[in-house]
Amino acid sequence: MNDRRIHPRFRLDRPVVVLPVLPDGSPDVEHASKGATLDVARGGLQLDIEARAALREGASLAVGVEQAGGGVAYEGVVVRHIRQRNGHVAFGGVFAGDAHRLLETGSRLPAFSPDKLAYDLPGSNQVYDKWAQAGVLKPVLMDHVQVCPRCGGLPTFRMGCRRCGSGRLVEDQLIHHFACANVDLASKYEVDGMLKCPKCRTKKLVVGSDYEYLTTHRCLACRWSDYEPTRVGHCLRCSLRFAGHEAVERELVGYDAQRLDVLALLPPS
Amino acid sequence: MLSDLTYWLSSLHPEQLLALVSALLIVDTPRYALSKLAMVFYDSVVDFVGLLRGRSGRNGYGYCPTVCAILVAHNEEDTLDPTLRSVLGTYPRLEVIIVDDGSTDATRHIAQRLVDEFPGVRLLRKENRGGKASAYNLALRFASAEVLVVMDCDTEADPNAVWEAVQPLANPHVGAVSAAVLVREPMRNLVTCLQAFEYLHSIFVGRLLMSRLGVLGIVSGAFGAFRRDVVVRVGGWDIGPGDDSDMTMRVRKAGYQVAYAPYAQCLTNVPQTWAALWKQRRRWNRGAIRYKCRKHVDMAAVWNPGFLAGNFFLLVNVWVFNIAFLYTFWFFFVWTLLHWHAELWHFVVASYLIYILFHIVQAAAILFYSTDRGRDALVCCVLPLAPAYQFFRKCVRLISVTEEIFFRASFDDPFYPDHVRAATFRW
Repeated sequence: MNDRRIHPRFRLDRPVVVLPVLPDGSPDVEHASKGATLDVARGGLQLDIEARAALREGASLAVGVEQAGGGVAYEGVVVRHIRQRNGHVAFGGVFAGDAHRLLETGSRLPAFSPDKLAYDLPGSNQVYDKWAQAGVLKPVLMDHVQVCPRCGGLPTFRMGCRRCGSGRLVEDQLIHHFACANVDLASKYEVDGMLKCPKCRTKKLVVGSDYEYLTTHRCLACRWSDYEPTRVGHCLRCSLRFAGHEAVERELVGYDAQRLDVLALLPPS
Repeated sequence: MLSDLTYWLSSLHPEQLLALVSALLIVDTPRYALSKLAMVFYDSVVDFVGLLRGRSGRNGYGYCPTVCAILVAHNEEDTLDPTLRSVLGTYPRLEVIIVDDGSTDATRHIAQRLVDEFPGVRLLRKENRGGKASAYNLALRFASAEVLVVMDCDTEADPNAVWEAVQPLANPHVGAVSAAVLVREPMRNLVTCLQAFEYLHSIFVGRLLMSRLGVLGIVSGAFGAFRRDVVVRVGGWDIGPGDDSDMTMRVRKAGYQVAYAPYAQCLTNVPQTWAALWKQRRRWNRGAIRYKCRKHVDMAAVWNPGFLAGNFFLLVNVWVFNIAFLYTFWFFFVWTLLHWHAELWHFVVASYLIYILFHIVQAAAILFYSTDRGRDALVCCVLPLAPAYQFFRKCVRLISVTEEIFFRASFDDPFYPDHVRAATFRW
C-alpha cells in the first residue's frame, strides 16, 4: 500500500542535512548533503537535496531538519523513490532503517550486561563516537562505576586482607599497658582471672587508667596481620583480587540526540 | 678515710683548692679533643700502611638482612612524605611501618596516600596518642624482619644509610647500630650552624671514638638499627623521654655490643631558636640522671652476673664527666667570679683561647673523616663562637641535671601524654 494513502502529506519548506549511513552503521560524513524538505507526513518525508550522494532505493539516511527555535533535529529514513531534477535529487522515504533505530529513545544508554558482567552500550562505541563527531549525537555522562583494572568487569568490594585480598579475617584484641608501653595480646595478660602485664608484672590493671584496648586483624588465608582491614575488590568476571584504590573508575556515557518530532511539524487536525 | 679526705680538703688554702679544681677541668675539657687527635693519628697510620700495601679503604656491602623501617608519626604532615621517600628504594629487602600515634592533623591522610602508593608500606593507626615507646612496640608486633631501623619523621636518610647501618650487625655480638645524625640546612641561622658543628664533632666523630672505646651508650632515635630478636628479648621499648638511650642501655645490659656506622648518615631537623634548643636540651640532659644514675645503675654492680666492664666504664664516664665535672665547672666558675673578679677579663680571654684551640683540633678530626669536606668546612667556620655555645650547653645541663636529681622533672615532660606519665614507673 502506498504511504501517501495512509498518511496525508503536508507542504513544509525547511533546510535539511542528509547523512548517508554506511554498512557498519556509522555516518558517511564525506557525502553529507544539504537541501530542503518538500513535504512531510507522519510516516515519512520527501526531500530535495544537492546531488552529492549517490542515492539508491533502500539506502539508509539520517535526515536533520532545522528547527524553528534553532538547532537541528534528526530522524532516520530509508529511501523509497528517487527523482533527478536539474542537478538536484528529489526523493521520498519512510522513517526506518539504521539511523532510525539509533535515534530511538533508550537505545543509546549503557546498561549492565549479565553475560559480560560489565556495563556496555547496545552497539559499537566507535560508531557512537562517529555519530557524536558528526553532531547527530551528544555524549552525556550518565554515571561513574568502578571496574576491574584488568578486564573492566564489575567487581564486588569488601574489607579484606591487604596482602592476599581474602575476606577471612579474625580480630585480635591487644592491650597497651601505659606504664611500661607493652603492647601484647589480651589473652597474654589474663592470669588467674585478672589482668597482669607480661612485661612488668603489674597486677590488677584497670582499663582507662592503666591500659587501653587496641584491635588488629589477622588473615586466616595468609597469616598476615594488619592493624585494620583494607578495601579489597574482587572481579566477578576474571576473579582478580585487587586493592580498592586500584579499581578503575569508568564513566558511563550515554548519547543524547535531538530527535525529529514529526507531529510537531504537522498542522493540528 | 672519708674524714681524712674532709680534713685534707678543709686544710687547703683557697688558691690550692682552686688549683685542684683547675686540674680536674684540665682533664675534662681536652679529653675528647686529644682522644680524637690520637684516633685520627692512628687511622692515618693505618690508611698509610694500607696504601703502601695496595689495599682499598672501603669494602662492599656483604650483609643483606631483611629490614623493617619504623616511622612513628605524631602530627608530622609536613615531614612524613620526604622522610619515607628518602628511605624507600634504597634497600632491596625493606618493609616500612608507619605508626600514626594519634595525630590530629593531616598525617593520617598523607600516610594512607603513601601506603596506597607504595606496596611495601604498612600503616598502623592509634586513635589515642600513647607516646613513642608504645608506637614502636605496636610496630614490633607487625615487623617480621631481622633488623629494625627506627627513624624520626623529620629525618632524611642518605641513599646508602640503611646499607651502612646494617653492616655491623653481621657480627652476631652487635645488637644495635648507631647512625651519624647530621643537621639539615646547617647554614639556616646561627643556632642551626652551631648545632651542626656540635653534631659533627660530638656525633659524627665523637661516637666513633666512643664506639672504639666500647662505651657508646646511645643509638639516636633519629636513625638507628636494632636486631629484632634482641629488642624482643629486652621487652621492647620503655616509656621515655630518652627512650632511645634507654633501649641502648638495655641492649648493652643484655650482653650485646653497640656499634657505630659513621657513613650511615641522615639529616635531621634541629631547633631553630634558642628557646626551642633550650627546651630540647633540657629533655636530653635529664636522661643522664634518669637512666645512667637510676634505672640502669645496676650495670655498674660488679657482683651482678651480667656485669660487663664496658658498661661499667660507660656509666663511670657519665658520672664523672657529665655530672661530677659539671658541678666542678660551675663551682670553679662561681669561685672565679667571687675571688678573681679583678682579673676576670684575663681569665675569660685565656679560657676562650684554650677552648678555641681544642675546637680547632675537633674541626681537624671532622674534616679528616668527612665525606663532604666543602659542607663541613663551611660549618666549621662557626668555630670562633663554639666556646660560647659550649657555655650555653653547660648552663642547660646544670639546670636539667639538677632538676632531674631533685625533682625527677623528666616525668613531667609533655613528650609523653598525661595518662601515660601518670601511669608509668618513676625511677
